[in-house]
Amino acid sequence: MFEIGTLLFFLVIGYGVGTYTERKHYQAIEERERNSIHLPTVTFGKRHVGDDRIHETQCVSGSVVISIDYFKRFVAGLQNIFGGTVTAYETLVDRARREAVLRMKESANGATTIVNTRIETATIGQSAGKKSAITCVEAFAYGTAIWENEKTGRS
Amino acid sequence: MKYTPKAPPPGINHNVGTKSLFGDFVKLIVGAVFSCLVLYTSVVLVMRLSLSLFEGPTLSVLAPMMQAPFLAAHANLSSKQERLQHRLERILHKLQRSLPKDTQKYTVVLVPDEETNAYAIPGGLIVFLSPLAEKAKSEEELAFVMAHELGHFAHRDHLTGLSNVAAMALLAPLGMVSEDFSRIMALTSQLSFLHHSRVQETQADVFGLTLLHEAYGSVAKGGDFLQRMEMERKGGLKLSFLSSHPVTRQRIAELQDLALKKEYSGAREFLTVRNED
Repeated sequence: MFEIGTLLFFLVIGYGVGTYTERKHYQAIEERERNSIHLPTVTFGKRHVGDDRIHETQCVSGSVVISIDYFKRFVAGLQNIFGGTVTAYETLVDRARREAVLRMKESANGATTIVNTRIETATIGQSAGKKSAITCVEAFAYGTAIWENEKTGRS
Repeated sequence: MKYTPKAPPPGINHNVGTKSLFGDFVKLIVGAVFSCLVLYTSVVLVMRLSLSLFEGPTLSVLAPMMQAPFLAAHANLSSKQERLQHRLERILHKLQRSLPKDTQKYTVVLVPDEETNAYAIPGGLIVFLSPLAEKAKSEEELAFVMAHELGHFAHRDHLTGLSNVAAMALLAPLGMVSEDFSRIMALTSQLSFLHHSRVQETQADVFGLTLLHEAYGSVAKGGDFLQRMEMERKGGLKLSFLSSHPVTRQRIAELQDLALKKEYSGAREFLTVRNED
């Protein structure tokens, strides 16, 4: 009875708090994406920006570590048994990558473009006693920020 | 190259599926519970079959080990407990006369303890804990309890118990594959075992009532132990699905229904609590 109770308790807490936290994070992400939409981040290099126009370049990066709630971890554990898309982790990875890109953009204050953008994702952290359970995802976004002469008004 | 900022349509995220996570959760739980039930039941059936094929050799090894602590405790009886022990032996002898001739030999021992209970130990040993024997007000009351334990032997319930233990040991490595699945397996198997245990207890009750009637000619005082147990029960929530025994009230009602249906002598008095010797 105690074991059923504790399991249900953590599932309810995980579902409730996790869903609320995720919704708030997505709202913040979407707002910051709208505010930073003027700064393009592209995966190709600077070949479309002539050297004479570049005033300054800098390697910029943004990283974030996001944890998964107990409910999603439980569902993902069962999905790993029966197969199929692990829907529990989709929002986790999506939020992590978008947040990392936003932080990268925020570190490139005033830049014109960020080129050679790359995103890397890794799992970190382990739940006590669970060797294979993913609990935290780290997303790391990096690229080269370019400040152009025309847009910055510098010669 | 010209850059035109364009925000994605609101509410659309191609990186996240549209399926409901809670819907996935329900489907997975149902699937996991069903899988666990099938797996656990299959393993228990296989173990039970194996044990029944090798019952003799298995019990010849396990029975002495399981009986040893009770036999050791039985060695230290007071003079009053010795008289109770003789009483129990007379009751067992009377009940055994109503059993089929080829039934195995049983032994009953009184064990000093603080708990009120009786056990059927593999190898034909019936254990009565001292408070149960001391509180009994009639011979028929003790006889019903003893007949109930004999019912466990008749139905070979000890094999099911051993099968469950063996099954849980075999399924333990599931924890290395998935702790969550292992937890569901533990809960499912426990609930399944408790349900089966309640069925066994009911069958033992039926056997006990029938044997009591055959040996004593009346079941009037047979329900006294259950009645006393119900009256002494402390209040509080009792969830029947989490118990190894049916709810006492339910046991009493079902036994009286059976006694009335089979027109046993004393059926109507089955529910009356007695305090006489």
